[in-house]
Amino acid sequence: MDPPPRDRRQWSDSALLSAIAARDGTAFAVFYRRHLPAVLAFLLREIGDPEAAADLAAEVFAAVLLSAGRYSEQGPSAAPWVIGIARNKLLMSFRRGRVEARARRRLGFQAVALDDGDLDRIAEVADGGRGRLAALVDELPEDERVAVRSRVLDERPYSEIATELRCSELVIRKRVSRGLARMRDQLKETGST
Amino acid sequence: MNDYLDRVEAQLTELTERGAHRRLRARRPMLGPARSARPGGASRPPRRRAEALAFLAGLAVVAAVVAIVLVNVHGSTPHNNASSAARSATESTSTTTTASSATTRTLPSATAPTSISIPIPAKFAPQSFTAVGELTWWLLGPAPCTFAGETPPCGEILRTTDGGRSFVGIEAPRATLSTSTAGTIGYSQLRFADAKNGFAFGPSLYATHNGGVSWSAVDVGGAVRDLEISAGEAYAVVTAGASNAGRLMRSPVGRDDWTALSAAGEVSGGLWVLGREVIVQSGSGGGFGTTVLVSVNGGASFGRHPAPSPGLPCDFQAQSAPVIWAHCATGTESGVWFSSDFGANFVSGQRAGGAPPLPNSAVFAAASNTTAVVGYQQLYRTADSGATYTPVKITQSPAADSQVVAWAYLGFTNSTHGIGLGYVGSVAQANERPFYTTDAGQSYHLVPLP
Repeated sequence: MDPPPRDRRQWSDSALLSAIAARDGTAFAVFYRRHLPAVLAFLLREIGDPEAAADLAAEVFAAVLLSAGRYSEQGPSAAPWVIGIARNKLLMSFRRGRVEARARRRLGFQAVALDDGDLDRIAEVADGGRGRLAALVDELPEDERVAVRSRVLDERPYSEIATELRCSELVIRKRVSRGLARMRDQLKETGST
Repeated sequence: MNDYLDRVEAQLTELTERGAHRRLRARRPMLGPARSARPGGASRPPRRRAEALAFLAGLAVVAAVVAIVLVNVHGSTPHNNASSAARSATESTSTTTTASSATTRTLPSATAPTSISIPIPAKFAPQSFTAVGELTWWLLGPAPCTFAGETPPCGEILRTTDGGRSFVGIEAPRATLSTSTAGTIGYSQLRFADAKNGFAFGPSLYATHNGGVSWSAVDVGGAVRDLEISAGEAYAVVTAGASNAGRLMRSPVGRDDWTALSAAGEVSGGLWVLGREVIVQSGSGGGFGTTVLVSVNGGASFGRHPAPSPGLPCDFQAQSAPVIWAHCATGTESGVWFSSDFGANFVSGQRAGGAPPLPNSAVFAAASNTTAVVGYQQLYRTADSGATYTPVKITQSPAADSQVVAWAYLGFTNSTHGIGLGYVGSVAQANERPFYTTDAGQSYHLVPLP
């Protein structure tokens, strides 16, 4: 069996998370930079406030650190897993009326000050995340593009989409599934999981 | 490495290399005997008896005047159509549906409440609901602090004994009102067993045995993450620190005598009790376990069955044996499962193709063995044990200028009557409002609060 490449940027998400669980700080940094744009883009889209989005993104990656050892590979990219954590943290924050900080408290993470200059960078990084995902969605065949946009980005119920497009829910589910699989393959091909 | 994102990266990288995450995993709590330290460390000591009595005597005079005024105000306030419909339905069914029916989770006391009413804060936004029948409920929500030394946010309880037609304010524990049972101090949830005995919990535990006239902190050796009441007994999931799992404890509702139910082993939540039936999810290494524990003898022994969504949190509800409903997280989403054999086998609604898509923040409540309501932004109702679902109709008050954007809680007090707490306008605690159903979840109506 070949040894893993020295450059961790060539490692899969699964390999990075295993290494993170084993205290590999460089692996964490690579994982953070790989997924930060998508996480920030998602949070910024949901919250609309760059400061809160950045605060919550820190909490998401603290939770990633805490959960790395329990990650079980479900595909070439851990992006759905990370976005799932972001969604959970977002919902908990909404419920509690304040940005979640439980994972950071557990780790002993010291609060990081944020100034106006940071906000531009946050928006810039989030734009990168949005751009990459948007480009992938745009490359999908039309029927899959509409289904993925409606279900994943707009979070509309399958039934509603099916009614609008005059087809069955099963057809929409298949289109979404095929579209997401195609996007995952694209990510794998470009090595940018 | 000089902007916010880089500094976050640097600190988390350093924590990774220091093994902060590994130390936490190794430090998972041991399930030993009860500790002597007070849970959360923030609950205030009980007031001295003489001081409390003197204070209450003074308050009683003021409160009596306030109560008279409040009763008069409620009596003269015109109700909108939605609340009138809810009220008339409640009144018409109250003669045929007894509070001690099998689907009522606790038995109401025949004794009238003895609590002292206090002023109701403006724009009261309930965050927890409890009931002992169709007509008698309590709502817990934030309120201005009124006593020296209290740390905001403080809480207040509204009680109705006429199905939401009128409310009186009663005192909540004099401690910080938390927004979640996962917090570190104070209380966030409310349960009443009858007119006198109630519990405020999550994470700390407070008990009243006089209808809310006074509350006392109860040390159960950990944080109370879940508490349910049935057949004169209160059951609680008690964890150490920030862990998701701990032990199951029980106390008679009339006194604070908590003992561990060792037969359950490590438990994590999803607690449901009805009569002598106790259902709870197992714990595993401080996290959510892979089995459902089902007891039919008040927790003396448990049957163990595979959980519908192993390792992820579930809520269980059972209105009549041998049916058990489960609502479980599945990752980024959640699902509803149904068992007709005491939890030995669960059938997924998703697998049958009849269930709506649900985020894992969805809330769930079962009215009966066939009927349940579930949802987050949109509520869906099934009347065929989860085979098919239809959207639920929400009726707003004419005064409400916003729609329900998400639901924070659903519950039924019997097979027809229930409450939902919905966020109106935007998802914020201050925007939570109660909605009432009298038709087993087919429709919900806004309950106007004072």
